[in-house]
Amino acid sequence: WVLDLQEASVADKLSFGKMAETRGTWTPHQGNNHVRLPRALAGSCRLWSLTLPVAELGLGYASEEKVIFRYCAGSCPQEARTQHSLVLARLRGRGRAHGRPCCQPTSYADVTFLDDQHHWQQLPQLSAAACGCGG
Amino acid sequence: SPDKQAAALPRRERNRQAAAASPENSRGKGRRGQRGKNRGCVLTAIHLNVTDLGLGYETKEELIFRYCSGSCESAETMYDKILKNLSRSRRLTSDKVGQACCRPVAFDDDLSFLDDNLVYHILRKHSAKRCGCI
Repeated sequence: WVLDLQEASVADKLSFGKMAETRGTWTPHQGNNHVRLPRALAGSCRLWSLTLPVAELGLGYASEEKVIFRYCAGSCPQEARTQHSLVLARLRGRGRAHGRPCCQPTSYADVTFLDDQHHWQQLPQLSAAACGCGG
Repeated sequence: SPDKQAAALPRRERNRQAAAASPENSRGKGRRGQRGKNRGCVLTAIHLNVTDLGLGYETKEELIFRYCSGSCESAETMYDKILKNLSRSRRLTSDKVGQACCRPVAFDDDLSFLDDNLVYHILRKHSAKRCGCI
């Protein structure tokens, strides 16, 4: 198996599916190294996708592979999941409680790649699989 | 009744709640806390009227409302470590990237109260009891 190394499309950014491992030819990713969220899509808390060289994960692995790292980002509009979060949103709106809703993963996925010694490495719960606004 | 509720609290706790009940003091308290050391994820309590909850009840009852706030920088899943690395290397430029959340992991017991029409209501999971970075 070779990890899917295609750059994420907009449709992929909106999907909440698990990371797919598919057969494919490895090609180096040539492109803009900085990722800026598209303004139109930066609004709400959602799952984003980023193709990275393993070295950029900063975890010390030696590998020329690239992996797809998914993360959560965006704003959290008022989300009333419990009476607590409903009340808290109202109090924050009136400046009586501090803090703010928190966009975070609600589930994770593993990431797998081949290192320079040709060993498979599996990193559990490395990548976000779905996002939500916590209270 | 307000007197009964106030009597239930020790003197020190009562004074703290009284200070916290004021919006001005609440904001000031937050600022003071943040000026010093970085506050961790902590349980904060404020004294409110039930009407302050904004749930539509008409009553003069009061309650202690507890919620979670603070930062979760010390909480590190593998995911959080990578986000931190990517932010440091400017691979991610959005400051809305989500990290571990300071949020309730347990709630206070249900609260019953009588409204102005002598109808009982119950609030469930309305107030936090313990906080965690999850």
